[in-house]
Amino acid sequence: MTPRIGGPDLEGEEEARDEVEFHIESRARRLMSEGWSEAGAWQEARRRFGDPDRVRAAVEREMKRRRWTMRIRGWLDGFGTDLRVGLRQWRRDPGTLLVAGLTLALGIGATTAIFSLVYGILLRPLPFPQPDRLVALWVDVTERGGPEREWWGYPNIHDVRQEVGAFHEVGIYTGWLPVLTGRGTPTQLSGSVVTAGTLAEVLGGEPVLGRLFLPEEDVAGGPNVVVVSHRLWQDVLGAHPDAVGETLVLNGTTFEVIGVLPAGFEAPIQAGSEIFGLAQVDAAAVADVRGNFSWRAIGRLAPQVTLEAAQAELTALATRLEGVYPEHNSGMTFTVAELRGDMVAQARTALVLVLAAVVLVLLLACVNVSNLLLARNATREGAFAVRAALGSGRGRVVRLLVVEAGILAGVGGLVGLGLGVLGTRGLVALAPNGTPRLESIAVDVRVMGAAALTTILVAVVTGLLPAFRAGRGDLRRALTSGGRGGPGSGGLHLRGGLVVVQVSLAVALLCTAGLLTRSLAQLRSVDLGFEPRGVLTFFLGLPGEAYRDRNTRADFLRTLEDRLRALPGVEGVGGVTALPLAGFDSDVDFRLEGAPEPEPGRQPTAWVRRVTPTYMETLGLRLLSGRGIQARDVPGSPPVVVINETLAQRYFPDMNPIGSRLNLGSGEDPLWFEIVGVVENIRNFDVRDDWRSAFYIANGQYPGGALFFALRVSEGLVPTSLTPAIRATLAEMDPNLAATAVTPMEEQVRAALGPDRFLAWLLGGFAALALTLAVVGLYGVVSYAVGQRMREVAVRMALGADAGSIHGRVLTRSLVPVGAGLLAGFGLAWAAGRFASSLLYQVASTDPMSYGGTAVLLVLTALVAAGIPAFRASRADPMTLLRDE
Amino acid sequence: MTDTSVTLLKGTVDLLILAALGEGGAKHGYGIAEWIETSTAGDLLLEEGTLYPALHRLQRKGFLTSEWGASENNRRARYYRLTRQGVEARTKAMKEWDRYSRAVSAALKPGAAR
Repeated sequence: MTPRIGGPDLEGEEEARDEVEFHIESRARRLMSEGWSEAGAWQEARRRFGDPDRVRAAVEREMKRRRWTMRIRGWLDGFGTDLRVGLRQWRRDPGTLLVAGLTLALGIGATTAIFSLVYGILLRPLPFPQPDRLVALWVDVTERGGPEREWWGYPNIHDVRQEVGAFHEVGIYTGWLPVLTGRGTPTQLSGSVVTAGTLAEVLGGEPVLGRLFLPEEDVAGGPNVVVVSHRLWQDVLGAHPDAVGETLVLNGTTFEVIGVLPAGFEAPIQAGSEIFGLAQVDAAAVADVRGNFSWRAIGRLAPQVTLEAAQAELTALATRLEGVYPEHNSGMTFTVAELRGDMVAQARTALVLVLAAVVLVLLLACVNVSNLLLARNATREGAFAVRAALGSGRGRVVRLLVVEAGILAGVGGLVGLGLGVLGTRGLVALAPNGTPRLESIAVDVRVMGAAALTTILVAVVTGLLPAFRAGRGDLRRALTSGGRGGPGSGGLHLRGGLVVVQVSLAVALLCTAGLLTRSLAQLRSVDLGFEPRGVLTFFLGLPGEAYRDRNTRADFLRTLEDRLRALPGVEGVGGVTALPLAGFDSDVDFRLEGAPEPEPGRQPTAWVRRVTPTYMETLGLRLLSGRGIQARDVPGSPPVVVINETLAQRYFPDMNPIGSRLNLGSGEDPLWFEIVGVVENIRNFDVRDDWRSAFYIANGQYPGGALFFALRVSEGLVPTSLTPAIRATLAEMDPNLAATAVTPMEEQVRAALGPDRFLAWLLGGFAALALTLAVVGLYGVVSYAVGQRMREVAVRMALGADAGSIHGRVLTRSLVPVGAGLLAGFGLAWAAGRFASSLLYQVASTDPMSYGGTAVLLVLTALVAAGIPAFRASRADPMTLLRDE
Repeated sequence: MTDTSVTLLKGTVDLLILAALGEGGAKHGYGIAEWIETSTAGDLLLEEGTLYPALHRLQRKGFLTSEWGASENNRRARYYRLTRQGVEARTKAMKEWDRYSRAVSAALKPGAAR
């Protein structure tokens, strides 16, 4: 006999006492046989045995340890057995393993990918020392009808840097788009100019090569030095270790490279920034531009200072400055916010929604697999009941089934992790432009840990329900149901209940996806106020000494426009300082002639664009009255302005604005522009809602050094087919110039809707997955139920019921859980819609189209899923069925 | 008990039990105590009660198994026997003890350090 650990030899105290008594008695007898007196023998026997209490305590301690060891060993033994049995079961049933494993893999993979996205964007700490001390500083001008997060006027942020002690350092920066020449084709770089402390003191990173800026370099007239991003170092400087000290020609001026940043360093300032220059602001020269908003600010809190304390200091300073400079600073407060949250604030709602959606899909996958396992276990219920009756505890059956589910989840988890890695790459590749922190998204240990945790949860969720069901096995019922191990109606009820859950989850996802898709459709059909189709755009800067003269610039741009217009396939060309939907903002103050002095801080503001005479016509802006900017508006002729509808309605509600005059700035400028026309509003900054005041002035009268060009191509031509011709024309005129950001206008509009499209596609994909899973679950349950009721069907048919009524009965029964699920799903969808309402455009969160569409889609697919088995039942031959019974 | 008796080193009880059960098969606790007494000619001072925790410990390790049986004088007694694992453990422990005791004796011999 092999020794059994945990056999009957582990007994209670009584046995232990017997044993001791036996020992002492035996010893005493022995001593008596050696001649001891009876009393002496017993005493000696006890003495030799030692303190019985101590012995008993020691024995008890040992017994306790033994019990634990036995329990653990027994469990491990049983676990090993279950693992073997489980693996054998799955080997016998590879079809279910494949279907269920793939279902779980999809769920786990999608969850892993979305989690890596959400973790990377929302949760991962910024890659800087003490990242929680990093903050963003804003000007809040809501009090005067402006945005909550406005940029800074230099003098204000200068005062903050000088007077607020809560910060270790505040860095400021603004965009810089220099054209790089002398290294192949001229290219426009995307970069920023920063104050010296921004990179070193605020962010606190170490350069990969060289050094960062020094404070003494950051003065007006300081040295021309730049720090480059990791990517620029690789792409332009060939990742050369001696890159420090090399020079770059930017806008015609030579700069020395002093340092190379690590990858991802630029993210808090401007995602994708390639190059950093020094601000070198002459504070005296810009002392009176408090009302401008041209600098952004980030800071590092001083040690031990809380965000609240910093906010209090900023508020106090804002109040004081408001008193000193009421004409600029009234209605203005300063705010500070944690930098990481600030960078991703826009994306948060969408990300949380996507995460919730993927968790629902995962849950659905689990329920589906649970359902599959229930059906699979139903055929084994008889065996379980027999086992239980033979003394194998209910716990053993439960454990076996959980282990089986665990094997399944393990397979699903491994495949799912692979899918998750692929999915993460896909998401990063497809994420819309401007998605914050994309560089920090990766499948790392944490994401893998989350995937593993998900897998364990999945095993428990999918395994427990069927396991408890099986553990409740009732021998008598199982054996009297004909030995085929069919479940009672309880199993079917449970599975019907799971269908309700599945349908409700799918409905919630379908409704939400419907809302987002409808919102996207509304955004797509928005009248932008211009016609993007067939328009190609590009940007041209005229840098350097050669173009310092205003007239040279004007001549060059005019000639270029004419030559482009002459290209075959070009219908029209126009230039503008900022294209719509390109993300550029330039608010200016203006004053209307004869208008009363505005209250401090309430000067009218509008967006201003300089345009060439043919710009409006090329882009398709619609003139409402008067005339547009024309070729006759040249330097020396009276300055003219064309205003938009909003400006006309707001400031000239009861009169014709044409002929009135306005002044840029505070009204002290002697230059007055005459209003010559009114154009319809266009969506300048945001497709959603953009009816802000705007006006257009003649580029010919004030030519700048850079313009965006828009070319309308002939009907039937692909806009980008003109790119080579544009580049060739430009190269002929000046080989040092580069046309950058060559993009079809339609692309620009698409990009502006990128986040909406990404979200609608993601949710749509999840909804489709959810619908498939729910339908598969429904099909499984209905066909199983039909199979169970075949006998009833046969009897009915033998008694003369026609196929149609059988069909109808089965369908009606199947649609009950679908209806219940639909109602429950609407409840969930209502909550989701409310949460997502800030993402919706001109769609109510209770949009009847989305809800109705969901209901129709669901009922139709449910009819098909239930209809197939129902049809099969109605076609069955009653005689065959009865004979088989 | 004589003056020459020595107190047992800790852990030696386990070894003695294994040794006792290795010779002549199953024994009850008292039988083990007697075996130790006889085979050491009373030179070892054993507090007999300490056998019992040790017996439990060895069972936990899987070296022993036990069952109730009738004693020589027809009393109910628990008999312990070595498992296969126990036999292996006994051989190993005895070899180790052998090496250990030889090393210690060698070291303690007068003039051992040359």
